[in-house]
Amino acid sequence: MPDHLDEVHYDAVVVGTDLASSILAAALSKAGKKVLHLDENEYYGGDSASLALEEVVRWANDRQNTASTSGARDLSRYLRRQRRKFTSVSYAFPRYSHSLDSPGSSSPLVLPSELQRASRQYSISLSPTLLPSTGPLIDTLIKSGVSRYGGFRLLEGVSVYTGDGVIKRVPSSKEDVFKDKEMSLLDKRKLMKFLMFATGDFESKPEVQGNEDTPLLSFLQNTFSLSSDVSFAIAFAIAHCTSPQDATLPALQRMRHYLRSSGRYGNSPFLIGHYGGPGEIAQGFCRVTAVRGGTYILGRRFRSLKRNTTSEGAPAHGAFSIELEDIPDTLHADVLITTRDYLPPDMLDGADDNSPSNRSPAAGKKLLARGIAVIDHPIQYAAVIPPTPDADQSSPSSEESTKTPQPLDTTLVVFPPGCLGDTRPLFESSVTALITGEGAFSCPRGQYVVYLCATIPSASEETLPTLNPESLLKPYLDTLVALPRPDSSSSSAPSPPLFQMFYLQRLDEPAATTLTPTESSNPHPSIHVISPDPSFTSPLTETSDWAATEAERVFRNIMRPEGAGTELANEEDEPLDFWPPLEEEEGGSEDVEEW
Amino acid sequence: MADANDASGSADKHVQVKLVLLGEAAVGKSSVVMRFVNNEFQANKEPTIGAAFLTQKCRLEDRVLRYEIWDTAGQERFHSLAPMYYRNAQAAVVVYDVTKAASLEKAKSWVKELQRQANPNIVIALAGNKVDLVTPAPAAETSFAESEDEPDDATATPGEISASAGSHGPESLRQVPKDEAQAYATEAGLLFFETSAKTGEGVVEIFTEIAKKIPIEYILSSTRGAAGRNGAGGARGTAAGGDVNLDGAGKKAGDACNC
Repeated sequence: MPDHLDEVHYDAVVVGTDLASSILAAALSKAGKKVLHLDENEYYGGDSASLALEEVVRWANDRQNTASTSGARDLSRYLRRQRRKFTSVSYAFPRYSHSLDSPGSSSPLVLPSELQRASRQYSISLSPTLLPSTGPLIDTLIKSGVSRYGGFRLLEGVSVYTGDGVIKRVPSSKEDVFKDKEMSLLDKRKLMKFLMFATGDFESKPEVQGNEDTPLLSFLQNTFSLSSDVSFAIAFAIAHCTSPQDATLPALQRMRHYLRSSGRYGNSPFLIGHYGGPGEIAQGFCRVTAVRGGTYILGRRFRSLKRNTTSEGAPAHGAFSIELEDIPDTLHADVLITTRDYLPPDMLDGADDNSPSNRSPAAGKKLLARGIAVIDHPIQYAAVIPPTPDADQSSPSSEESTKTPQPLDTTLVVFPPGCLGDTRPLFESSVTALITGEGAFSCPRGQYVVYLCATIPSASEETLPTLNPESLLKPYLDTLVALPRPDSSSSSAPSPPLFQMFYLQRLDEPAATTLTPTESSNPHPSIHVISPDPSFTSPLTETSDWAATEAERVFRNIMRPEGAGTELANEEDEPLDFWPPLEEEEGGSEDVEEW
Repeated sequence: MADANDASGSADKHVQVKLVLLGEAAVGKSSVVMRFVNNEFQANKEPTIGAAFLTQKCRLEDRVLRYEIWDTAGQERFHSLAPMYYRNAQAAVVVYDVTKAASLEKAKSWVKELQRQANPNIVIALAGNKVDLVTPAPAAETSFAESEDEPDDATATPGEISASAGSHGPESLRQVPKDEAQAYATEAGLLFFETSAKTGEGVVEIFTEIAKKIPIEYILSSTRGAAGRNGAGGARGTAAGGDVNLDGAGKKAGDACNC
């Protein structure tokens, strides 16, 4: 029986269930708009999805160009664009490699049955993210009530790889700095002076004047006389710079944000969402939309997505019509909100999909090299039980604790640029390794998901084929798993990962012209494009806040009261709150509570 | 770790149980819940628009459970129910309509989906709803009771219409024999009741029986009570204890604004 919709006309159709789109859909629903929310994938979250292991493998297979090139014509527009966005995708099951000997097979690898059975115990994020404890996304989560759907935990530790198989814990508070045993008193004083400066209103301070674009590293060393080690730790593990060239002012502003976030929920500026983070949070926003009457259709390809052209005025059925596979009705909407993944070329407005920069994968684009690995031993430990964050737990000489150190569940290890002696010019980037365990509900007990990420400033057509994400990132994974473990005195070789995947992700430049109704040149006043994340500098810590900011920007454009014509102008003259106040706070004592 | 104390504290006397509803459209999922939730508290309460989930306490002799009941909010219609819906659910009520044979088949596929997606220890109950339509009701009751209306809350699937008794004799409407459904439920290890959200028949019973079957000790010791809202409700191995409640701790921060 074909599925009929009870309604075919919607105020807004939102295409894509990535975090920003999902936040926007929820806001529109809460503002009383009738929302249709679509995603061609069978899962929620788009490029920020949290996937079971089986789904990760399917995701990778869909984005590997090796599989029948002849069938590429059958690919949907979305998938064709996904294949340009995600390139050099490879995965393997190193732990099981001896058992599946299939030399020269170009067919997709089969998930080992042991992992197949446990597939759903994994929530692997396509967009691993640290969520600052203050800022747009946290505000949005709380104001919308979505925070109640999801679980969060604190990032338990940040460490910097200092070379030669040693990682050092980065102090996460002033107390930590005082307790640090390795730093000299003079260094501590300089560091404290800088931290005081960085948490204040430094924009007008003489130290910053004229230094806005100076690389942060030289600013720290020259202006605050900080040592090279301390400067590296600040730049890459506190300000989350990715390149030694990252400019001072934006880095200081990020850092102030993070420093001020610390203490809100505990001794870390960052939270990690359960079940892979952003993908799960997106589902929470989608539930808000659904509860408010929004309609969800996932896993259907578009047969058509087009703008209704009538000679004058708004078409009777709405400005857009959408046909989906398996859905007999043509759906109509007044406003279209989408990411560029879905937009037909004729709607892209000057940013035609066939433009030279889009024709070949990742040409002249900023890239992320990403790696995901599942391992079955912890990387970082608290020195003693109960965990105190003051010791250098990786130093094997600390023999005073007789108890086995406790493994940390969610940690970040930062590899400053060049720390493995990699001097390739394209690769002057820090590499981050975010490690999440069972406590973040990302994998079965005793296992950990390691997310590696490096930014590649720009890749030209010539250099692109030489970029191999696996050869770029594998040395970091190997270094990580080979770090000394306090629980095993034997010097046995580290066991290979159960699963590993590497790929390149093209970061689209934000649309040159944002399609907003105010721009008179915009021929499509009711198309709103969710811009890709421009935060090239620190994707790990900035992406989640960007999603909330971008959703609010588009929301305000859509709800703009003066926007005449087909816009969903608010009845009243004043703009709506992005998140209207929650109806009722949790009472706690009543028998019945509704939210 | 600032929250470790109140997270592990045993101040919470009753156990939170997340219960999810499943079933074909128009079988009366929302009605069963409204009957259960409002019957005990406020009989004529209007359904809430946009309730994300409803809560209701269930008292047994030796324990009090606090159900957190999640409606599908229509997301099941195009197979678009998010994995989040099933997460940490300790109980499920799968509803079908005794007057629609196809709805039992759909219920069976939801049971399979639960066994695939949900916590392996989930307690599943099968509810054959609208039994009032197939049992000769006392005349006094039918005179004022309308046919069973889907409450007009926003979680009701748009356009759902309730089956109407029509002019036939009640038994002729029945398409799912009770023993057939019972046999399936026994085989699949489900609790089984025929219910009427309209008259209340079987509704409280189904939630009470679920409550008896819920392994509370297991919940207390090994899983979180409710989707993270109470922080780590219990230790899940050594890893637990670092969870935070976003709504709670924020008040402490004097200067949360950083713009």
